[in-house]
Amino acid sequence: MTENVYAHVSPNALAAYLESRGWSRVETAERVAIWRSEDTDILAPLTSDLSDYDDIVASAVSKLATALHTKASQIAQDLMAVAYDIIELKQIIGMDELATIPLQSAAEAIQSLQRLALGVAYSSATERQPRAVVPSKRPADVTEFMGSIKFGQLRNGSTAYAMFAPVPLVGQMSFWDEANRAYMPFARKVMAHVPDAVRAAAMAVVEARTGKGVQAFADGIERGVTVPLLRAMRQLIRILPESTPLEVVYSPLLRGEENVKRVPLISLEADDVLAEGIAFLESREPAEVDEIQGQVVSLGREPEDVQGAISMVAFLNRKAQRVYVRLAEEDYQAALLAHGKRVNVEVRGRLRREGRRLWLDEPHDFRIVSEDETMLELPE
Amino acid sequence: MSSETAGDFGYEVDRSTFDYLRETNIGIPRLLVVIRLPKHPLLPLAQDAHRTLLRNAPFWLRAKGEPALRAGQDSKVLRIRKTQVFTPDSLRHILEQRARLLI
Repeated sequence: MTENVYAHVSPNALAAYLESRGWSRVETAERVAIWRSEDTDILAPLTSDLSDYDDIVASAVSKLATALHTKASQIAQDLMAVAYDIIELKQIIGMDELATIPLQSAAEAIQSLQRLALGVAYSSATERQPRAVVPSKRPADVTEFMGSIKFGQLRNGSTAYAMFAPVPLVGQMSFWDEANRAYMPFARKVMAHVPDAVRAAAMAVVEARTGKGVQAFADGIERGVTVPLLRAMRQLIRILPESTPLEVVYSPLLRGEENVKRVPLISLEADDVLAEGIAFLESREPAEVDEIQGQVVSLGREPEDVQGAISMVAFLNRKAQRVYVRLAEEDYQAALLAHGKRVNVEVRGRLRREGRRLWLDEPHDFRIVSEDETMLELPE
Repeated sequence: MSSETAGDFGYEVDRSTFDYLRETNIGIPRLLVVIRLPKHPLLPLAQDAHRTLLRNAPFWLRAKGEPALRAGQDSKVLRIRKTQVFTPDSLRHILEQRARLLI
């Protein structure tokens, strides 16, 4: 561990680590603070732009190592990891001594971690109404989480790759305590849920094979089984050596907790069971429903059909778009009325792109929106 | 060592040492401690059966925040006051101030 490594330790990470190990801040100046525990005073920088920043952090690491009876390299490693909960892939089939891996395996590794994160995040966000298939319109927490996670080497020169989920440096409470769940940051909630969800999926595979059939996957949904998670597991068992567990390592700030969770994955021969589980869960999922609101801009009726096709302009993803809808007679009459009065209508259904046209299939709950309710502005 | 007066003496440092000492964006204070010695190395030492005596004394100086040298100037003569003797008491005082982050 060379000293310049310390330049990457943030002042907040060092402060959070000192606090987690029992030090209290006793003096604060403009650029530095003194932390004290029993008779060990440690100087910590408050800003990383000091010209002697590396020296101060190196000295703090050395004092911490002595006080905690451990190696300075271990403290330095902890400090680099405090801001993350991590899923480690220690060995990937085909990895050589320089830690290069086949490009195909790398792509699979990244995609599997992305799917695993999405599946578990969605399951964490929808605890009360768990679903197996992630809709295209995701909860805001899930979108934010997916945008925050990173992929890379576990540490400089390491032969392991990992997914990093940033967790806040403050307010890290015991996360195995159910009473704390409501206050837990979403990223931590997701990462705490990973081992249980993977275990639930592995259990579903076992149960499916021992008489329960594919229903076992549906029964596992409330424990975290989702289609993206199952897809991730299909990829992971192809790129990891047989019987390699998935390793989730939590921030070292959680002192006194069990910081590493190892979850066994299933055997490669169970791949077809996973595939059946995915097909089953997808088949029982209702069609994705979208609700759109906008103004009817054209009306047409095909002569051989009792249904009338209309087109309306609605805001989708903040963009005004024309959507075609084929309505039942009664709804078509309502659409005529709305068109005449130039008021908005609302309809639910499943969006589908056909060539350049956007159709709303299976329309239902068509209604005219009163002027008071109108939330949409028409394009200028 | 140069230009001694009743109240201080001069000590010349090169540009990089001076820049190191005058740096303000630091977390650990930088002191210059100068031990004055006569040219003959044995002269300040006196010993007998009961004691070892080291004549003369170290002096200390802080140059934090001093203005930068002009372009082309390679060195600077620092003026060190003779009252700034680096004694156990002065060191204790410096450390106490530091422990309260006053310096």
